[in-house]
Formats: sequence, structure tokens, C-alpha cells
Amino acid sequence: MPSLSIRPNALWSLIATTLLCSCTYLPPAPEAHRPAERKPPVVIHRAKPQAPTRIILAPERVIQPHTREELKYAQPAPPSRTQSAENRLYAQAEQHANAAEFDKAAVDIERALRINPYSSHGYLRLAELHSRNQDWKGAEQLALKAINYAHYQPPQQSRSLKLAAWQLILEARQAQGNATGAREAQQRIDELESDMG
Amino acid sequence: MLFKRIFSVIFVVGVISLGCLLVAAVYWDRQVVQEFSGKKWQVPAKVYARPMELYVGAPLTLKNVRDELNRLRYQSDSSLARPGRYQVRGQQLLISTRGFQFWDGQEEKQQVKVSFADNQIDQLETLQGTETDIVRLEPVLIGGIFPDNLEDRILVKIDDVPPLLIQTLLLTEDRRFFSHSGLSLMSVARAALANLRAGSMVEGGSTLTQQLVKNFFLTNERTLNRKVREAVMALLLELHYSKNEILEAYLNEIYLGQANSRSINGFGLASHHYFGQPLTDLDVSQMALLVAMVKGPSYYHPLRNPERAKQRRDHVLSLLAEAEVLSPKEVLTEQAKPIQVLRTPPQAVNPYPDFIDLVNRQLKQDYPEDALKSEGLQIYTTLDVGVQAALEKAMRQRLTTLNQAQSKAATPLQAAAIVTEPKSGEVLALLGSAEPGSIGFNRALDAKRPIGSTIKPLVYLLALQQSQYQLNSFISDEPLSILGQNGKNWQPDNYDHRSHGQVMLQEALAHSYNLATARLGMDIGVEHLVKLIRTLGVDAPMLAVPSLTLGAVDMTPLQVAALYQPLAGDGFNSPIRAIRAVQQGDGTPLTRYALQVSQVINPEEIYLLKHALQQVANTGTAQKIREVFGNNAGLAGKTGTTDDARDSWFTGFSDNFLAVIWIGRDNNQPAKLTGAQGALNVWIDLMQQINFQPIRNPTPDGYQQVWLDQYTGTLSAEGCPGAVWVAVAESALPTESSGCRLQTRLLDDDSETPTEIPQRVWRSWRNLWR
Repeated sequence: MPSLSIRPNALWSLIATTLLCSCTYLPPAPEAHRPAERKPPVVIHRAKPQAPTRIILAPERVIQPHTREELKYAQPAPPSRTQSAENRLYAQAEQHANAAEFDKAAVDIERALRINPYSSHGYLRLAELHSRNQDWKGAEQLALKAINYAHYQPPQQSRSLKLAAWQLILEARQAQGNATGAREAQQRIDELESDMG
Repeated sequence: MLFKRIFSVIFVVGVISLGCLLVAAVYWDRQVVQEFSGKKWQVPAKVYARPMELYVGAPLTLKNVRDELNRLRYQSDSSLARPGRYQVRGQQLLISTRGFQFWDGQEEKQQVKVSFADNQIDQLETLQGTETDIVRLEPVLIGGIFPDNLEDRILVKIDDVPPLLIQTLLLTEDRRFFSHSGLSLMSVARAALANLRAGSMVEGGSTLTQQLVKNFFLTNERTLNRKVREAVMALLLELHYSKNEILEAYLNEIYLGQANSRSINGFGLASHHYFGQPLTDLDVSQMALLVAMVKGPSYYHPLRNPERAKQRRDHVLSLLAEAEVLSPKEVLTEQAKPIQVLRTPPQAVNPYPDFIDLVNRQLKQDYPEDALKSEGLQIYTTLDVGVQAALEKAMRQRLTTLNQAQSKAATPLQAAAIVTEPKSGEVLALLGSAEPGSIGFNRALDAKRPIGSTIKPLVYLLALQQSQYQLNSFISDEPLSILGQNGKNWQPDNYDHRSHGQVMLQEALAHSYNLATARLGMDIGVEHLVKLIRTLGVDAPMLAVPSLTLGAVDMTPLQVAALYQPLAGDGFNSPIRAIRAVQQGDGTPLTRYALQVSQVINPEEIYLLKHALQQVANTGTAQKIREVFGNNAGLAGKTGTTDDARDSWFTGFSDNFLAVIWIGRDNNQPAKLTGAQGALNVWIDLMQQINFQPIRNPTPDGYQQVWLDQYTGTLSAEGCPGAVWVAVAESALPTESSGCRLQTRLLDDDSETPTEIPQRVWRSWRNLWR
């Protein structure tokens, strides 16, 4: 099995690309999965309580669930208005990381994550910082969190983020001597790579 | 002969006295060197709340930011020339920030314009018109950890003190400071003359060095012995240390007032205490006032004795004119200014003792207590003062109402609460009693109470981790009896003392059915429940007995918060923490408490559980949430009630807040409140005041949300009798329809009783119209 390692520069480039793309990405219109937000609306006429025949229902909706894509992106994307503040903090983090001030870089990223706690690339960056400090356990868990929120990104970036995260997890698990976990990570990487063609 | 004898006696006495003085001087010299070298003071740790961050899109209203500025003692002022001022212009705030040395770097002072729209920051730019991405206000000081002598100070370095302040001080207190050797006969003569002219004591004759010696080494007693000692020690101090070292020590040592039991020492702290500003931001009249107070902080106190204080300040200002430091016109301008000091200085005592208690406990894991009281550490915490204020208000108001409804003979209700940020585990607010701000038993951390149904989500989570259970599975809510190890039968009962037959799993949780939950828990295995609780990081003592499934375990509100943290945090556990970082007084970073995450629940399981807990708020025991916030509020939670309604719990979360509320009595008498009647109301009141974001719970691959008939489990539709909104794995989706639409058409046709509709469905449908 080939051992994969992540070049920090490559990861930062990927993240920077992701950031840029996510700035321009317009999320699909928020479409809640809750019934009250779906159409057509249910109309209940309650003029005469003794007249249940006046209930008009539209049960077709029940057997017409959202399409898979709708379901996947049914949640509102992170508020894009906060993007400039996030970008500033990530840029600051990069400067600190380049100056080997990893703790300060982590503070910047945590500040950005407080603004948008669904930022997959934020967790991924933090995971990368932990891996630089050889904190493999922390790096693995943060990468898993990055994967958990990757679906908030557009599909292509979601896959790229997941791929980068699994590569980091692979490295972390190998470093921890977790052979089974590393195999799982490698399998996920293979799936994602074949998915991305 | 006699003269010779007298002379001899005097000579002998003189020699002996001189000898004694020399011996004393040697002893005092050692004392001076020992006490003045190295660390001179015990400086209390300063504890700060989380700083407010301003950026476009931040969920903050103008009121939120203005409240924060007021907490930081910013002054509303039409001129923004000085830091620490702000102006309101319609929906805009113009702020001249103070800047702050944060753990991770300096936040520069700047002038910014913040525009608000739709409950968030709409625009952020500098007053020069350039856009700025993010501005961090300085954190609110929320307290300190004080040494036993209760002295408080902020150490300043002489190079950081405005030269004008030093000039004013020397002109007023010791003009010959740089030329004398610790004592000054000239100063004594000049002071005597000045006092004679004024007809009262307006100047003292002691040098700054003598004043420092008196404050630093000696007591206030007025005896010849002390005066001699003061003089000798002043000379010794001058012998060993430079003028700048002595002056810097004076600036940090001098007593400048009292705030309850805490003494205000040094100009650094006095500046914050009286003006809410650092020394560097003071204007001339403010500096003059501080210098004026040196002579008698209580006698010239600007709030208690404003006239006296102004008179003394103006005298100090006139000295500046005499010495031609300022022109007479400038002095007149400064003298025309009224005495303006903070009416409510930054909290002298901790206003949030319960939260500080938690901070202290977490700090003591890493720092010895002495270090906390003496090293001047800066502690940056996670407290959100706005959320804390909202929690205190909600609790105070609701408890007043609840107490009024109780018997007058009953002891007043007690309470505790904790609010955390679900994604990070940071504590935003904490309340350890029904009386916010009171010091005493911290119930949030120490009151171990049975948690009742609060535990149930964990039982259902364990069920959902097993393939045979889905939210649309049916389980039995029939009575059960289990023979315990003590030989007694355990026979739980539902709150309404009724059995509900076969119930859908989601509904059993939503309505908190005890019989169904106990059966489910027994089927899964109580030992797995214990294991899960341990995995979530809660080490409360518990027995793996059947009653554990219904919450027969004592926990503190803090432990309950830890239990729910991964549920609210998308399956990731983040240890609950109250501290972000600690730095030394000089700004050197010491410790950072980093974000930690650990996945403990997989995404599909957490998705299902979050969905089910939202149904508790929509249609279940906490449906008051839907009544208040509407059907689509994105809030989830679980009520908890213990035997005889002794404890009223509610634990609930939004996307950005997790809050645990407990109400009960210290003597364990019944509170006579269910979770929904007591704690839930406080939780709702809290959520109404804070800017909560709805829960996000995207449907993962392989799952759908559908309307199902809660009695038959078949497909139904919104508005149909007994229809419930359930999240289901596609593999477990029913294929049969309840026929709700079909039956409606039948009714349309003949308007007869729908005989084909199952009786149970018909009954619930009919109930809709009652």
C-alpha cells in the first residue's frame, strides 16, 4: 500500500482554492427539509368543525420526497457575508504558520471557526497544524470533523476536502500504528479518487 | 564636675544610641534589599470575558454592541478624538477603540464605523473610509483572583507612563526628587511655607522615597521611631536603587482608593478604576485628579467629595502653570472641566462568582493557587457577558413567578444553569443559585440531583445504534415489573399513569413514556448505557440497574451539559471549558486551551436523534417551544422530572447554544414542577433574549423524512389524523399508505361515518374538532 503524505504547501493551496471557490459559490436556495417550508401548502378549512369532509389534502407530496441532491444540500450554506472576516483570519493564520507560529495560527483558525463553525476547510487547516506538531490523535479527529461538514460545500469542493482530510487521517492513523484505520482511510481515498476520475 | 558627668552620660547614651541605630540600620538594610529586589508585589490574576468580534454578517444588533461598549466603560461622546468613545448615528455606531494586547497579538486602536441591518452587522469600515474585515474589542474584565491582603494593582513600567503624569506628580509631591538622597530639608521647609500661606495642610514634606518606604515597608503609625526608621530606610533605598526604579515602584505602590474590600494600588489600576481607561489615554485634568488623590484618596474621593476633589485637582493644575509646563490658558481650560469619573467602576468584586469558581477549578489543574493570586496572570475566559445577563434575567423573573405560585410556607426554589457553545464546548454562562452574583454553594458544579428523563435521549441513541431500531419502529409501552438484586420488584409507571400500547419509537421519546423507555433500555442492556455515559466523559457514580434507564442517577448541571454536548455538537465531543488562554502580566503567553474534538457518535445516528429531539419541541413534552417560537424553530431538547416533581430539568439546544436548566429545592422537598412547568420556561425565556440560530440537520444519504401514521406506521400526509414527521432510513420506509386521502374522498362522497378508517385513527381525527 503506498504511503501518502501531505505536502503542507499543497494543502494550503488546496484550501486557498477552496476558499476562493466558496466565495464565488452561490449556495442553492435554502430549502428546508421540514414540511412547513415545502410546497404545495396543506390547506385545512375549519369553518365547520363537524364537517371533516372539508379537509383537503395533498398526499402526493408524501410519496414525492426531495431528490437526493435536494436532500444533500437542503440546509442553508454558511452565511457568505462573513466570508471576508473568515478570509482575513485564514490569511493571518497562514502568515503565522509560515513563520512557524503554529499556536498563533491555531488561534486565528479557531476565531474563524467561531464565526463559521461549519467550515470544513477550517477544521482541515487546524488538523494540519496538529499534524505538524505530531499531535496525530487531534489531527485525525479534526479531519473527521472536516469531513462531517464537507457536504456544506459544493459537490466538487466537498470531494476535494474529503480527499485531503482522508489523506491526513491516513497519515495520522499510520503514525499512531492503527493499521485497520489506515486501511479504511486508504479505501476512502481510493473511492474518492475514482469518483473524481 | 557635674557638667563633665552630664556630658559623659550624654556621650555614653549617644554612643549606645548610635550603636543601636547602626545595628538597626544593618537590619533595615537587609530588609530593604530583600523586599525590594525581585518580585515586589502579589499581583492578582485578572479574569476577562470573551472579546466581542465585529465583522460583516456578525449576528449583533446595535444594542448588543452598545451594551458591550457600556460594559467596557466607553463613553458616548460627540468627539471620537480619544479612544474609548462612541457615537450613535441612526443605525450606525462610530467607535474609537482602545486596542488591546491579546494573547495572540496586539489589536491596534482604531476608529471604525459599524452599520447594522436585519439584526446583524451590515458594514464595517474605518472612519477614513477604508473597509476593514474584522475588529476585536477588548474583553470585559470580569474579576480577579486576589492575594490574601486584597491589594489590587495593574503594574506599569516607567517608560509606559505618560511623562506629563510623572511631571505633575513630582511638581506636587516632590520637586527635588532627582536631586535629593531620600530626604529633603528643602522640601520640608517649602511645604511648611506653603501650608502657612494656605492656612491648612496643602503639601507634605516627605519625599517620594519616604512615602514609598512608608507604604511599602511600614505602617501608618505616627511615632518618632517610625519616622526615624522611614528616614533611614529612605536613605538606604536611595543607596541601593536608581531613581527610576524607586519612581516606578512608587507609581505601582501608592494607595489610591478602596473598592469594597479591595484596595486600589498604583496609578495603572487607578486609571482603570476611576476613568475606565489606561494611563496612556488620560487627559491632563484626569492625571491631575489622580495626583491630587495621592494626598488622601478617601478625603479627596471624586464621587464622595467632588468639591474637595475638584479644589485639590485645580491646585495641582495651577502648579503646572507655575512651573510653566502648561500655559495659564490651558490650565484654565483644564480647570473648567468637571470632575468626571465612572459611577460604576469595573467590578471590584467578581460579579460572576459561579463562573469564576469554574475558572478557578479548571486553572488549579495547571497552576498552584499562589501563582494565581500573586503573579498577575491574565486569564482569558469563554464567558459571554450578554448571554450571562440574559440567563440571569430569565432565571430571576421566572423564579419570582414560580415562587409566587407556590405555598408561602415552602422554602424558596433554588436553581442552577449552564449555557455552552455546542461546537466548541465553551461555557458562555453559568448560574449556581437562584440569586445571581451571590457567593455560596455553586449548584451548577456541585449539586448532584437525579436527572430523570433527561437521560432518555441516550437510551434512544443506543437503540438507534442497533440495526433493529429505527425512529419508526414500534415498541411496547405496556407495564413491566423487574425483580431487582434487592429482591424487590421495580415497577415503573408513566407520568399519566396510563399505558399507551404499541408506540412509535420517536413518539415514545417525544412524550417521554417511561414504560416504553424502560423496556427499550432493558432490551439494549443497562451496562451499555453506563458505558455510553462514560464515553461521553461523565464520571458520576452510578449503578447499572434498570431504573438508570429512567434517570436514577445523580448529576450536576455541568455533567448534564457534558452529556448533551456531543448531541448538540453533531456527534463530536468537546470537553466543556471555561478558559481560552493564560498569559503573564507582561503579555508573555503561558497556556492555551485549544479546541478539542472527538467523534463519539456517527453522523447517521446523530441525525436521527437530533430529528427526534426536535419533535420533543414540536409535539412532545416541550411543545411549548413550538407555541412560542413556531413550528420551524430549529430547537431541540428534553424535559426531565424526578419523583414527586422534586427536580425540574430542561436541557435543550439550538445550533449555537446548549442550555441546561435545573430548578428544585436544597432540602429535596418537592418543587412541584415538572420539567415543562419549571425549567423549560426559563430556557424559553433565555432563548427569546439571545440570538439563537436554528439547528442544521441535513439528511444524509439513505435517509428520508416522511409523514407517517403514528399508530400504524404507514405513509400519511401532513394534516392527516395522527400524522407525525419522522426521519427514516430508506431501507425502513413503509410502502403502505394510511389511505388518508382516499378516506377523505369517501367522506366527500357520502358524508357518513368513515367505517373503513381504523377506529383509533378516526378517534384522533375526530378529536381535532373538539
